[in-house]
Amino acid sequence: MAAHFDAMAKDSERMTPAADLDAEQLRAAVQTREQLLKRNIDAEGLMQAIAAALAPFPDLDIDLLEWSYAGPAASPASSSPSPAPSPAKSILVRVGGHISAHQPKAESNAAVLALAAAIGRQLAGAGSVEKLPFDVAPEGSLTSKPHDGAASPPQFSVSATIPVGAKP
Amino acid sequence: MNITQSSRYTAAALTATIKYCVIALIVCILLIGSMRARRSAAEHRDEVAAQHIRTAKANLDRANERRALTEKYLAPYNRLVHEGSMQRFDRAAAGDWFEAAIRGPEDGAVEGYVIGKDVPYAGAENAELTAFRIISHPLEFTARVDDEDEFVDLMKSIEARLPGTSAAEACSLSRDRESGLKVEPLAVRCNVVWYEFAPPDAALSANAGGT
Repeated sequence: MAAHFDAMAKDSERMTPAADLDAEQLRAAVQTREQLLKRNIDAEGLMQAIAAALAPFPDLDIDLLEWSYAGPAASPASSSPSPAPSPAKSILVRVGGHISAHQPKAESNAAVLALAAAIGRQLAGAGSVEKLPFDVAPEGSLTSKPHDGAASPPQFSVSATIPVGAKP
Repeated sequence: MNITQSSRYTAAALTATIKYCVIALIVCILLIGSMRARRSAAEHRDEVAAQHIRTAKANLDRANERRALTEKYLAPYNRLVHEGSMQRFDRAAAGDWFEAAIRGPEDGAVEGYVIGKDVPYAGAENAELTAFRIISHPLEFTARVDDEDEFVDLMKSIEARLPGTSAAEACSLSRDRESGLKVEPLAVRCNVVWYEFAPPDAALSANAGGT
């Protein structure tokens, strides 16, 4: 019986195609490449999800949209050989913009809070506000010139952290 | 009357009977011992044979598994080699690749780019890969596009036409409010990373010091 199995194993080895790498490393090389290609962040899908989140807020104008893997990234400016970067577990998306100064301030803040939640939902992640148009922190202050048409509009910024692999 | 005094049951006869019984008992014990030894030897032989069969079966399973893996992954691996994905990275060639990838309807959108220094990469993606070392090569480019659709077309062109293993991993789009144009263009800054499959003992490439 053992001899029969040995003969079958030799037959199987004989029929195995010749390769530069052993079978496990062939698999690892091919799968590594597939996984690395998946690091490509789908710009179109991301922008569509953000556009959908923005749709209920016509008074919010977007000036900045950025995304990247969260965590340490390879630094092109480093002079010495850098250690390998640790793999990122999430993607950070940031949306910045402005809101019309004619909007009631409380409504503007509420809209930005709602936008952060909507972006988090659309991207299957967690949304948060980085900057409200009008500061409500206890230590903050609010300065306004209601009749100055040339004043720059109130700015806001929200972000969302999406787990890598989450589908918007 | 005492039974031992009977002519039929003399002491000698009784002694002889006891001796035969003892001898028979000893023979039985020896036979049992011998049988047990034989059975134990047979069991040992069976165990050794079973062990051989298990080992041979495991060898066969491994050989079949290797064969199945090789048959499944050899063609995709050879395709990667054929496409040049396993070649050493060359920054000058990569510059040509990138310029070819951005040619087309969006020609002129890209204002400039920098191919940065090599950085070894270690992540979950290559945790099981020992035959190659992964080295990342960052490319940062800036562009100016009219709208989001043009930006998406540019990124699709890069993704589809850039050879090797690459991924667009970060982008920043800002609306240029200062342009004074009716349709404000989008200022784009993106990072694309090339992943090189280098031999495990390879140093970073010779052009690691420049850009």
